[in-house]
Amino acid sequence: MVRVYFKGILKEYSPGKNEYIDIDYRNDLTVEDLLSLLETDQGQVGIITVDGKLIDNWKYNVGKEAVVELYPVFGGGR
Amino acid sequence: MAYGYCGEILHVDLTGETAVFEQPEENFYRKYLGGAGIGTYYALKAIPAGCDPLGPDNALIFSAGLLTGTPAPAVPRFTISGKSPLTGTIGKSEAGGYWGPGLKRAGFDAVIIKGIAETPVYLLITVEGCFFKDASEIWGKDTLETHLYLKEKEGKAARIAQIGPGGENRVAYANIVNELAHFNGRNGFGAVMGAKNLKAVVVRGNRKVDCYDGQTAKELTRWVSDNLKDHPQAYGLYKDGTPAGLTVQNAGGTLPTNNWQENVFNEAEAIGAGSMERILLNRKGCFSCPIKCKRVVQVEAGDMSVDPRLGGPEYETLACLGSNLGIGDLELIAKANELCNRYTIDTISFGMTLSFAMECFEKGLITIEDTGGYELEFGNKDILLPLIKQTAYREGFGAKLALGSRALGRELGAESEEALLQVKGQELPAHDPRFKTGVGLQYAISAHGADHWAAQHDVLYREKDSGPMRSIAPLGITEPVSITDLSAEKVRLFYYTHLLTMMYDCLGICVFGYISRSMIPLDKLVGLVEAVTGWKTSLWELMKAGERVSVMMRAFNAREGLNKKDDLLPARLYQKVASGPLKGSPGIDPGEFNRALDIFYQMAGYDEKGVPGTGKLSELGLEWIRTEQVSHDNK
Repeated sequence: MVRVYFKGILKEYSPGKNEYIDIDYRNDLTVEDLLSLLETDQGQVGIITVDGKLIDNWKYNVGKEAVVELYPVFGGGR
Repeated sequence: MAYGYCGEILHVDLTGETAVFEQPEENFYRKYLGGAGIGTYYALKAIPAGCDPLGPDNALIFSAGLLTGTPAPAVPRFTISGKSPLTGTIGKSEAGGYWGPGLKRAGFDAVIIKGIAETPVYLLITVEGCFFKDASEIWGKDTLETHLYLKEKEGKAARIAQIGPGGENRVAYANIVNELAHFNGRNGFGAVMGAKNLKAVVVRGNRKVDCYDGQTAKELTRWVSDNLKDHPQAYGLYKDGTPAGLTVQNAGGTLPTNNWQENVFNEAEAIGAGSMERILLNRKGCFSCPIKCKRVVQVEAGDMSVDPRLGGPEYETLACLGSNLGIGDLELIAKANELCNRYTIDTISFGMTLSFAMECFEKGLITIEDTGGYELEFGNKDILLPLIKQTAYREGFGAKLALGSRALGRELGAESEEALLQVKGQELPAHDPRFKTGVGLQYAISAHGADHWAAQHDVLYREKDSGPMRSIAPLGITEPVSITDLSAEKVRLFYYTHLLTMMYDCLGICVFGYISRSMIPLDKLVGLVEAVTGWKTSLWELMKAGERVSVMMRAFNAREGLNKKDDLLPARLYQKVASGPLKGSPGIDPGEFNRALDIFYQMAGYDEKGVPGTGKLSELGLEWIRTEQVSHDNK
């Protein structure tokens, strides 16, 4: 089982507006696959961590018990 | 008949207490639009080269955007232009709120203020004209006291732009506030008001801003309200405000911490948007804006109470007075924000100047004798509030902090340079260009010093087929660019979105309403300008006005002797990342960055020193700028 957390405003757009969703693990599961399964707009995701590690490559394979955190894009503040 | 604009410009001389009214022709508005366009135009015309920013010859130009005051969404803004006392360059600073629409309702597009009043005054600008009023009773008062006094005196409908003690005492980065919570935050124009003995500019009027087709503007506002939830970035601004950025930056290892020596702050969650729910009283917006990104906070704790009338901290404040000082106490930061707002002190520049001093204290360049007993250690919560007050009144070590980091660094000597984080004298906002190199280009190239809203941010354009990527297809950019890239593609992305953002500053547009940071697309924007003005226009014509701003600002600086040698990033940004998940990542490559600057100059029509060429000036219809003097001063 892989647990995916939706941080900040992304929670409002997660399935059921849940803080996290558990996804069944399968072989060669990538971060990109997860986003696709969850129908998450990739352009709205700014930061991804897997087991606390910052992931730059969205083809990154997640492990069986991985904890994935998705943070929204932050395109400038005040 | 004028639609959108009023057709009236006010020229005020504080020395002689005179007011002159000018009525430019329609073509003037079509060429410069408003806001930064009109502001920079008059800065070049009215301010002599080499003038003292705090002297009588400097002009303060308040100019509303072309769309400001109409019922369109997210167009509340006005620009203040002039020569900045912080940077010595052209200055430019925008604010939202209600003052810009108020100026239009009083019947004016812009007011140009020169001279120095003999005794403290405030200006009252109404449809009947301009009145010079005694401000001796409110000189020395904080912004809340002044606001209440002027509302009582001039009526509830009056809109007030004013300074507190920070401006009166000419703190180099003092700002100007309207309606207590909306700031022309940067470039130190509050100090210019203070030097002019000008406490406030009050506008009052009931003149409607005529639109050619006002219904379209109203419908667009309704469209934003109806569709806000479909756009995560825009809805996020409503729900969490800019404080949401704190935990995002921290998770990505890009949150400025301890004067940018670190990139991760262990207490980020404690000062982020989630924690702010604890003190959040309300969400507020600017004139005719349904997004409501502003936080209103309240704390009831005796001396540490925070008055909600003075707004709430934004992302930049939470970072600059929080993580960057090693402080993870949200209530304390909210109180510090309130104090800065009472005194009109820019929270970015103050926080960054203090963090610079803290690092110098660590290195032994500042001693406890210098600080009057204050331990300038990162995380020391006891010093924050007293040092804000000392700075506002230029007392004790606060007199040093009031200089700004560059001037303080000059006093401390060359050893302090590696701790300095400023461009052209203006302190960096809390966005690290090592992870978004386009922001580095913004910082370096901005004529008025480091500014994080001189263009859009790189992170919006790294995924193909994303909403932000699609939003700039009308500019001819269809391919994503890596956030750390410094190729010609990145320079082009920066350049085009720079012109777009300068165009926004002419129209009075808030970046939080329009693409790519938010939701209103460019076709709807062009349609809006046509509806408001009755002009048949195009994105091309409007962006040319944005380009004029960029070029006029560089021309002003060239006249002051600035050029490529001043387009420098701080040394720390060329160093490897010291901590966090990106530890060891390379800093910006100086050779690549230099090449990117050269590419930008070529794209923009500047010479090899970064000075606008005569061909570019002619192409933009700016031949009136004395190119001979521009080039002479740069020999």
